[in-house]
Amino acid sequence: MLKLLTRAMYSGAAAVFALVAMTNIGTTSWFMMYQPDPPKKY
Amino acid sequence: MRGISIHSLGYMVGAHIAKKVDQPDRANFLGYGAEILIGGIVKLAVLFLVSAVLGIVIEAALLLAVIAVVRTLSGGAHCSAYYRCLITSVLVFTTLGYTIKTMHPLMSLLPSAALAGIITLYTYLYWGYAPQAPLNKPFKSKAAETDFRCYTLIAVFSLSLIALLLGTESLTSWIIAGGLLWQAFTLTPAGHGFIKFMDVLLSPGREEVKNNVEAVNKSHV
Repeated sequence: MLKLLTRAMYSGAAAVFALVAMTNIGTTSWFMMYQPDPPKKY
Repeated sequence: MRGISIHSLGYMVGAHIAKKVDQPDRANFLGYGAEILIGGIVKLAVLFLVSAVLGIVIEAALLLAVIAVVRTLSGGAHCSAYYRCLITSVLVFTTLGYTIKTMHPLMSLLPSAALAGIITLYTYLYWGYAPQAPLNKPFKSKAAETDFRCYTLIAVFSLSLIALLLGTESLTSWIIAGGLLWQAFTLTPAGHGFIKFMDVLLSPGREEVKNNVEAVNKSHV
């Protein structure tokens, strides 16, 4: 049960990070006045 | 402390999550997302902490909402490192919020023409300078650039309409106008010059920073 919950938690975090990365690659990021370099391959 | 940065922290988190979900090839992608998210959370925490001390939490939140929406679409001048961006942003947002709050009793006496004048001024700037893609994320096509220009103008028009409808007596109107005027300023050569000044000011004696900032400025001229 705990393993399943942990797995769901990591998958959720991965989904959130992927969504943030995806929505920030083609436009100005939420950093407002600083743009971190996007990854070379995605 | 020297080795710790939002960038390295983000990529460490991204690599860890990628490993846990059995997608090691997506470590950099997830790390990029984590860097943006962690950087954003730190920035919000610092901004609201300083705003709470100054008693301008509502003003800062409204300014942030207005500027974040338009800046995501229009782009603008950038600092060359996260910490310099953090200091500059917090300084600008709190100064702007505090000034508008303090001056509001006086500004509420102004006629609607004053607000309309500010709106006309920044609309002219958005029309002439937006959008500006960051150097490391250029527009993929002319169509994408045109789209962002349209979205920027629609967002500016909608927010300006709200400000006009609320009238000069409303604090929200002046926050919208002030936020949009500041964001328009960051699109202009003078705005780029100001951010460059802050960038260099916050890193004295660092030639590398000066060179990077000059390269960014040249690309926008």
